[in-house]
Amino acid sequence: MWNFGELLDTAVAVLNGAAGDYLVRTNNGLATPLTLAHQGEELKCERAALFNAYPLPTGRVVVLVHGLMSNETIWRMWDGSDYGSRLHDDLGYTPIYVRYNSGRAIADNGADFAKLIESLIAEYPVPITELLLMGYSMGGLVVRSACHVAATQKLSWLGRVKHAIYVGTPHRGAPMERVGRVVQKVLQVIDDPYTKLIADIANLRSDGIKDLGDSDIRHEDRAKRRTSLSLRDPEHPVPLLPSIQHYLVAGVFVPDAVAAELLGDMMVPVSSATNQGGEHVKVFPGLTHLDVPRSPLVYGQIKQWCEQMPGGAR
Amino acid sequence: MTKFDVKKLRGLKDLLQDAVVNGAASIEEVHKRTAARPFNILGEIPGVGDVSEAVRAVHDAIVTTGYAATRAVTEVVGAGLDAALDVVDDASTATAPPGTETAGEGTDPKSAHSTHGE
Repeated sequence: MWNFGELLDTAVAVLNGAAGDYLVRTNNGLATPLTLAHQGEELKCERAALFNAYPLPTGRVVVLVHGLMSNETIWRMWDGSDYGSRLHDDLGYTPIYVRYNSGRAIADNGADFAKLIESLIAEYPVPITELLLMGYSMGGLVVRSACHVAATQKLSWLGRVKHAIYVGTPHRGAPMERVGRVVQKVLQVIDDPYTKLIADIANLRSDGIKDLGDSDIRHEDRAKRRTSLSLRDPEHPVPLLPSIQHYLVAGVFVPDAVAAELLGDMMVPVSSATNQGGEHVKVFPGLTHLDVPRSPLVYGQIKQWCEQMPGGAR
Repeated sequence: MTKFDVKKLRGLKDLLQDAVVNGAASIEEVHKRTAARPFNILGEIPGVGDVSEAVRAVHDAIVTTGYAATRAVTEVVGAGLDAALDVVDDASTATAPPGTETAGEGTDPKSAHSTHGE
């Protein structure tokens, strides 16, 4: 059951996703900074606070990054557990949750996430031997953006990341946002005050939402988007880092094969969530976009992958 | 439970204020552009154009004043709420026990979400 504080947190998370860039620009107190989160509160990335939150820290750490318009509660399953807490119980990972303003540009959140992980490595009470990154939906793109920043800036933490798990992440963009972009442009060129007003309102959607259209994880990708109105899945300009093994989970809600390819989990097409195939890809029939971050079936696959990783089984 | 603190309340107030002020500006623009259509047509009719221009000037002035008043009242109400929030902020800062800024209690990692669902 939800409590009032959680409902408020959820409302703020939705607001951040919808207009988080505006909140930051106007220095609004509702803008959520990118931080660690523990038991519904911000957790300072400092040794004492981390030790207080995790009195029995393990060297194996899984960092969970939520998606658009949500917070860390999106991972919660029916019994109150989540992929992180189950990985703790089954394989000894310490689960660490990140909370952020999903309306900001993915590149900005990626840069901040990269810095946060750098601090986490320094402040975590015991040496981190394994850093597993797990992102849901937009969170997967934030993970990719952070890894790109770490690779570019040669941040040391990237060397500890051997595996990354993406759950319902639109690696090749979200067609719904691209359709919205085209509709907004069409409305804008019609010389009518009402359609222009509708176009202006449509254009108020956040930078984070706009980034999902082509899964822009760098600022230079965002700049190019202004001249692109293609509805097709874009070839992503930043490939998945070869130094990391990537594991991709997709949901498929509709039984028809063609519709499934187009609609996928009702938000992300299968080809986008699976990055058009690969070695570690699993598609789950019957799961919507809101199911994939909290499904026992998906967790079973994640656990199996983790057990197969070098040093995986406890 | 996360506190819906003064900072967030002020943020909510700012957001509502922005919505009214910016929304009024957008609606004003639509209002004027919509009204401009019949005025433009009337302006082309010989003998009516001058009269319609005068009516248009009065119309636009009334419209501008009306929306400006909406924005002004919103700003005044916003300033009043800001002052009230300042008082609440000062009072809560003065009465807050030491250490209230620190993060959650020590727990086992697997209970990271133990309070959820209760």
